[in-house]
Amino acid sequence: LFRARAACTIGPNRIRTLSSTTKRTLGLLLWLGLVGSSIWPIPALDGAFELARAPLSALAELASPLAVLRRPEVQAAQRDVLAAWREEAEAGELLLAAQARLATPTDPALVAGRRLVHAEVVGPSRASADLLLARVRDVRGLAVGLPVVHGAVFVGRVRRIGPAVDLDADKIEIELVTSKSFRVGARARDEVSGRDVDLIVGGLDEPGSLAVQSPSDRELFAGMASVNARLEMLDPSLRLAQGYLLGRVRRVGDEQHWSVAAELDYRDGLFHLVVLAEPDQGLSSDEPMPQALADQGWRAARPLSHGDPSPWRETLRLSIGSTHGARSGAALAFGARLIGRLGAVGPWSADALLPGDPGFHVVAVALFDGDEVPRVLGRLISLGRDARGAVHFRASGGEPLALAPDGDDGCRAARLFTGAGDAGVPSGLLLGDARVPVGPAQGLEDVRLARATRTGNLRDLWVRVEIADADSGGPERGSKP
Amino acid sequence: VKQRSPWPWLVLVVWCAWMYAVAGRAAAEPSLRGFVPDLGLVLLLALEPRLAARDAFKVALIVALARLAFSADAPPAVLAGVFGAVALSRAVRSFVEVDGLVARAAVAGGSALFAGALAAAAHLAREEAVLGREALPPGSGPVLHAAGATALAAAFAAPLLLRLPGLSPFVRSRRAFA
Repeated sequence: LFRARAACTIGPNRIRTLSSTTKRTLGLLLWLGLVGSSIWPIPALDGAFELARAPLSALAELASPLAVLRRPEVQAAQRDVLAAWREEAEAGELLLAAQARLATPTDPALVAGRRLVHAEVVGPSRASADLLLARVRDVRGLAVGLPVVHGAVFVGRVRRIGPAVDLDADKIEIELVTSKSFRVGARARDEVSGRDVDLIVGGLDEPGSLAVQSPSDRELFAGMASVNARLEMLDPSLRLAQGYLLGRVRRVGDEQHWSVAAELDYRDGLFHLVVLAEPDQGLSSDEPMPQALADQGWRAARPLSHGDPSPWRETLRLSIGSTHGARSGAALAFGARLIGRLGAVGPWSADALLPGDPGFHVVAVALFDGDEVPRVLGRLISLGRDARGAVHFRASGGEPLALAPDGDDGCRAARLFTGAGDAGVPSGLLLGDARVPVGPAQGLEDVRLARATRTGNLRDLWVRVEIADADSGGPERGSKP
Repeated sequence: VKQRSPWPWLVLVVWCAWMYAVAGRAAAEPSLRGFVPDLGLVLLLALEPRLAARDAFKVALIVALARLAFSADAPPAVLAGVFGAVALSRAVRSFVEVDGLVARAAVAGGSALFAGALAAAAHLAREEAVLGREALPPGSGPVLHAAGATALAAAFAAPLLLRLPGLSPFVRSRRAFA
């Protein structure tokens, strides 16, 4: 080891004069280092490898004649997808409209005296999973501390308003009720005694449950908890959230422990939210945001490969990198369909992970046949593609799907779309037609995406970039055709 | 190989790039994906007995870089897999003729299995960093099938790969059996 260290410090000339035993020892150590960094990844080292890998996009160009040979096959595949583009884009728009409708409170008692500002969830903040970034049409009239709701359910409060550090001008940061430091006054009517009990709710007790503190009546057994603005003088904004639901509080475990069963999947189930603002004569309640397909936040990308040599993977190399505004996790689309997401991103090229790649994940919603309500499936994690071409997913989170199956497999036909909440993936992109387990089969069976797009055959792809990056220049930018 | 002539090395780069490009295309077909051999690895193990250690590791580096140009596998896993194959071949060569059909197939199959398993483990580790305990291990079936296909290709297609145009300088430099 001493000799190896001496060799490293002296340089290549010294290495040439080393004995074969020392060289073998050095080689073995290097190899063990490679094996170790494979199994225990070091982000900085992976970043360095990605940088060193950047010139290999030129090597991939050597195989470009293969694209010429495949041109008829490619054109046929693209024609098929483009033929369905208009219908699929309209379906995505209808889904977004339905989501906005569900997120908008309708009870007159919960709406009166408030201005409703729609916000589309962009994704979690880099700082914490309990902080959400959301895009709004107009930040005028918004203030820190304003309540944020989904339908009749309280979600959290506005924490920061853009423009600010790491926050664009059209974005706000929302602190969720799941945050460790979040506290909100609540009131529940005990189902046993019928008495009103004041309590404080905030933070996670366990996944799916909010923590409860200081109930005014320690005999509380169970009841529906809603926001109660007791200290209006100290916290005037909370008055706007008066009466919004938090969930059903119940005693759990020992006699002095209560928790609230969350009404929503706060991690992967929030796509569209509404900020409750003070009424303003000059500002009216606004409309939901339009679909992202038509905006300027897309950049063209060309596949450099035709598939992954690893037989269990489904990826492409793309001719787009961080210098073009591409970021890891960004959506890859063709027409109105989600084709994949970016994996590792180098300066001039990037990996595209396709739905058939094991570990590919995306937040999804389903529109079931004969059901107009979008259902949150949570995060779908790919198990890979089977021999018949169907892609299997395991669903994580999501809402209970109390629907009747339409076949013997315990599943029901549905159309899957992307939800909001994954940074770089706009909501409303089509994933495809699927068989989704419902009722008792939910959680036991896989979600099966039938006839998933043969993405290896598509060549004119589009990558989602931040609009600021798309405007920063470059050879190709702008809205999708 | 004449150290001063870059052409054999450039030809090798082109052949490796094409092998992995075509392998990627074939693996994109669900019906074929389990049976696509790692032809770069087969070529490397066919050339290795004919090369000095220094040249063998240079060829291994070219094979690894060609694979990385088309694959999303973690770079350290690909490098470790390819260099491990050379080391295994050289270790086996000390007591058996690795250019024989059975030994060649066994070394190639074992190397492909190790490289595939390491790449799968590296992928799972990186998924776990994002998804936590929800990350799912990829199935072992495709890795096993690909290792079998690589072993078969090493047994029967390796001599053909050595006859690829432009690779004769590597083949002619056969050294004495170690």
